[in-house]
Amino acid sequence: MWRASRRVPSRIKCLGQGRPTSRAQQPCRNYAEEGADKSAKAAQARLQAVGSLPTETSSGGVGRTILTATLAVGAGVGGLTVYAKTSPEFRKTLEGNIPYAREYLGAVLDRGPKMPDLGLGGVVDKAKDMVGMGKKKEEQLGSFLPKLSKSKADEEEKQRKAAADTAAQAVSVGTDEPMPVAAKEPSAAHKESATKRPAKEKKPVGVEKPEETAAAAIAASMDEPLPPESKSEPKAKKKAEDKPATKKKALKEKAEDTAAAAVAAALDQPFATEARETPMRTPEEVQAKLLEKEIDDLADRAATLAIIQHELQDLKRTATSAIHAQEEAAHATKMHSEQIKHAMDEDTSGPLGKEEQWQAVTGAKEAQVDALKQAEATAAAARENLEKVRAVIKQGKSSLSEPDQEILSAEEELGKLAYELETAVGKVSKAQADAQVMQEYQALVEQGRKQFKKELESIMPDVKLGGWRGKLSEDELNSLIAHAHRRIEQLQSQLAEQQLLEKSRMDDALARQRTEDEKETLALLSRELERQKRELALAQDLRIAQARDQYEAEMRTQLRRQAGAHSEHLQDVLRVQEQELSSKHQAEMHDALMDERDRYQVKLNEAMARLRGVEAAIEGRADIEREARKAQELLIACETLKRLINTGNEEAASWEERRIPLSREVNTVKEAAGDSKFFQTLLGSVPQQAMEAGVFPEDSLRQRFLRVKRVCRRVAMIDETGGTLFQFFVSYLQSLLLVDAGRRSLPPGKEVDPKKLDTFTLLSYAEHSLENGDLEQAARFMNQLKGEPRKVASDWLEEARLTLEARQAAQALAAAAAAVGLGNLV
Amino acid sequence: MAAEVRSEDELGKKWDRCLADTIVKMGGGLAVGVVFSVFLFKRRPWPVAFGTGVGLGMGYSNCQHDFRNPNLLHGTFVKKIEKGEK
Repeated sequence: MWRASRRVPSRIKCLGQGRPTSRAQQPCRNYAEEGADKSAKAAQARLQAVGSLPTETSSGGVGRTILTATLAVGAGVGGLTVYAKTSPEFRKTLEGNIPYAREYLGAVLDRGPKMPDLGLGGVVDKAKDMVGMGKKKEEQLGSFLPKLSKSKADEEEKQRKAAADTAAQAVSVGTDEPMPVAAKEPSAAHKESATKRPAKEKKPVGVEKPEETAAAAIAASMDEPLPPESKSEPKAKKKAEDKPATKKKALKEKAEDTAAAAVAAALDQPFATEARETPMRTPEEVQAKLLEKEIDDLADRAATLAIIQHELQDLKRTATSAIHAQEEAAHATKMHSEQIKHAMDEDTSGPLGKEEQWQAVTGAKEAQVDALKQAEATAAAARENLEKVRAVIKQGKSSLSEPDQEILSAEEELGKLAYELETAVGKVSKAQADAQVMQEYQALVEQGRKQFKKELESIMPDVKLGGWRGKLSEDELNSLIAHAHRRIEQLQSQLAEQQLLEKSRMDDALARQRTEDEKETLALLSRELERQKRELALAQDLRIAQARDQYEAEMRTQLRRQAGAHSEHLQDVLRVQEQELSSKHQAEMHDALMDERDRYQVKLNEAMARLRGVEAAIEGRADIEREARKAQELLIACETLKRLINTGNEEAASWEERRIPLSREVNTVKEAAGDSKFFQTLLGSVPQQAMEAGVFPEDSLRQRFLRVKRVCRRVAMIDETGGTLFQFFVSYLQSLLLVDAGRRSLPPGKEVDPKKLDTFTLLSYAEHSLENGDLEQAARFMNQLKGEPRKVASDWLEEARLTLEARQAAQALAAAAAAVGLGNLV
Repeated sequence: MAAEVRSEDELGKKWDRCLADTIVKMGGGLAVGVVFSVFLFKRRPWPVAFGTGVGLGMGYSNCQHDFRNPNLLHGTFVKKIEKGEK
């Protein structure tokens, strides 16, 4: 505590503060200041001990904090990014919660082949998941197993519809967007992963409607990437056809992606979660499963169809191009041979000179060569494609439960294309054969020419054929002519020979030609046969498919009918059972209820009877008790009366006031007694004066008696007639002189002679009796007084008599009440 | 008598009355004697004594009379007052 502010109290007088005093005092110890100093020093020491004060290293600390904060943030962001890369769910949550996270994560994580972000980022991810799942599934399934139960078909339908819309939208949007990047990327990527193709062919993405849109989208997409990717439309078509394989692969990849996206957008959770609870075969679920199966069938079919369509179109294109190429080749060959013929036959006539003709020939030859090469290449490619498509179709047919009409039509088209291709190739070969003939002819001609040339050379070594430079000499000419003549002769002979052998040669040639024709016709026939076979097979398949469809539909309806009938039957049975059971139950319940009621009734009756018994007993008891109570009351009242008579007013100061009127108690007794005549009589015997004025209790009478006795003794000598004063005085004197020897008791059993009784004895007897509590006897004795003492004691006597009367009445009443009470005491 | 007199107290009362009366008579007699003595007999003591004696005698006589005939009531005359008269 800082005590710097505390002032030293002025009381403390010490040296150094205030005036110095003469008293011997201690020097002033200014505790406040001292303390302040000390505490300040201590605080500073503490601070120094703890560490440096912040003001010294403020800048370093701030920098350090900034650095640490940046590092922490960077570490956090990096960690989040890495985690987002590994866990797509986490990435999704991040993208959802943090703004601009998607862009950031896309920039950082999404390198490599990826579709353009159409805003269906989540959809595409799902699609990739679906695709992966689908691949796994396809590998597992040979034929269809009942798919795992889904939640609700309606929800799915809705979802699918919504997803199909979005997919279609997305795809249409996607096709409008520039896709060179995307298309190139797939091609680039696919060149690396060519082996994945066969696996990717077997992608069973399964939804129906989106597949159509997907197919359309695929077609669209296949058209679209052509212009930007190829860029070679102005160029010769061979450039575009040079990479049919890669293009096809690229397109296929692209189309698969699109298809996957479109399809997976429709499919949501159902395929995402493979692990499900075991299917419970409730009717709704069964129906749902059937529906599911149908949907799956359709979906798969649609998927394969899409692929097939894709392939077909691919094939068509290549096939047409191949055919075109073949035709071109054939045409070129024909041209070539014609040119040769032309060159051979006509030497100088015609628009073109010889040399130009031969140049044309070479040109044509070149063209033919090129065309042939092209044709071969395209044919090979087309054949490859054909095989591919055939394989796809076969696989599709095998994977589906029944072949679809579209597949069949695809097959048909395939067959047709193959046929066309083959025919074109045949044409080419035919042309080639013709060319061969022509070439042979040309070769022969060449040979002849060469021979001629050689011969000429042998004859005239300096002359070169064709090189008619200047004029030839006569010798040369002659030799030439001679040679020519010789040659002509030779040729004529040859010709004759030839004409002779013409027939045989012709036969040979015909035979050869026949064989060739036969071969060709055989080939043609075989082709035709194949075609026919194919067509028949197709037709059969078609019919089979139709029949199957029909049967399937019929079976379904029948099954449905049966199911309906079954359910109706069940309902009926259940209803009947319910009724039965309910009626039984009702009966049982009723019985049980009746039983219970009866039992309850019996119990109730029992209880009621008991209750009534108890009531009667109680009432009887109550009567008895009432009587008893009344008796008690009576008794109490009587006892009260008796007591009152005996004791009087206990609160009275002196004996004079101990009178209490008995009226109340007597009335109480009267009430308690009720209608009893006996009691009424008894109550009537209570003297009126006692009721009004009350009675003296015995004690007060006793006390009063003392005075009475005194006075009586004083006037003992005076009789009724009165007396003079003198007599009074003498009587008084007598009383003084007569000693009261105590209370004389009456000897028991002895008779008393009334004549011998005088005042004093009487008084003495009375007193004795009173002392013994016998008021009655005392009253008797007092009654014997005569003369003036009698007059003096008259009141006392009266009172005593009253008391005695009352007491007698009360005692009688009490006795009677007790008797009544005792009688009622059970 | 309005208040109830007990029989044993009657005599006492009688005696009280008697005494009171005697004293009054004696006083009266004394007074007369004194007066007579002073005014008539030149302050001689014998009228006082005489008066006192007279008083005493009168009282005694009354007492005696009272005691001898105890049944005699002491009544008073009540004047009949008619309506209208005060």
